[in-house]
Amino acid sequence: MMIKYNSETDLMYIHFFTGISNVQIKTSNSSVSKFVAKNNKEQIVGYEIENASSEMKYILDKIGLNRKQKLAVSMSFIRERQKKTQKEFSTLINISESTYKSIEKAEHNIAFDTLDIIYNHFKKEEVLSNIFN
Amino acid sequence: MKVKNSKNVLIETVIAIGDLKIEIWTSDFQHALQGHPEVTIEKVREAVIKPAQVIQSRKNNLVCLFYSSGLMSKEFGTIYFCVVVRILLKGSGKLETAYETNYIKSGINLFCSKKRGVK
Repeated sequence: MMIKYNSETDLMYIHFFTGISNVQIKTSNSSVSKFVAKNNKEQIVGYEIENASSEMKYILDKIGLNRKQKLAVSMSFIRERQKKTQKEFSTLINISESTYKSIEKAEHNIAFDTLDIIYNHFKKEEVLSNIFN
Repeated sequence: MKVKNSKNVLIETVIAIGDLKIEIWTSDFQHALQGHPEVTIEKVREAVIKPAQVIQSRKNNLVCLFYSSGLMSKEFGTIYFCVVVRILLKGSGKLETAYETNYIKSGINLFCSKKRGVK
């Protein structure tokens, strides 16, 4: 999974696959468009979200993300809003940079102690309540 | 050559329509390329230098969308190449990403070529 969020433009890009030729098409939400594979319209390659900060609930609830992917999106969103690099952010929350990077890619299973660190550090972050509650 | 860090280097600055200087950085171009393998630097250059249409986003006025002329596709109808640019200061911007799309977003129309249409 590949996520790019820019807090200045409030644009978020989520890609489930890379290296697949795709075309952007509309969805029923005017702020959200999806990228579908050119050779199979049914395969969703990713999403573009405008006004992402206002659409986080939609992103987390409506586009079929699993828990790991929801955590990846939420952490990327929180980090970029704080204008921190992945390295700076991993230091801030006291986990290794490689672990942090794999969280934002929704790779591997996340250890309970890492989840605990994240939960305790970001108790007040509304976007994470969907994942931890 | 401008370098933000060892992984983010300025590839080039394209002088787009209206003399807007658009910076293309490796991190943004790589993101576009990984997500959309149909993206090439030549297509990006062409879309910003000779766009068919330029739209200022209705959702965020820092975002401008440069659309190339469309190409007909059996599956998707007209397909446009779109370059998403973040406006930095007056007269300069930065590539955010680029992709193919089958629709032009609504927003403020900054430029529309008389030749706009399907190739």
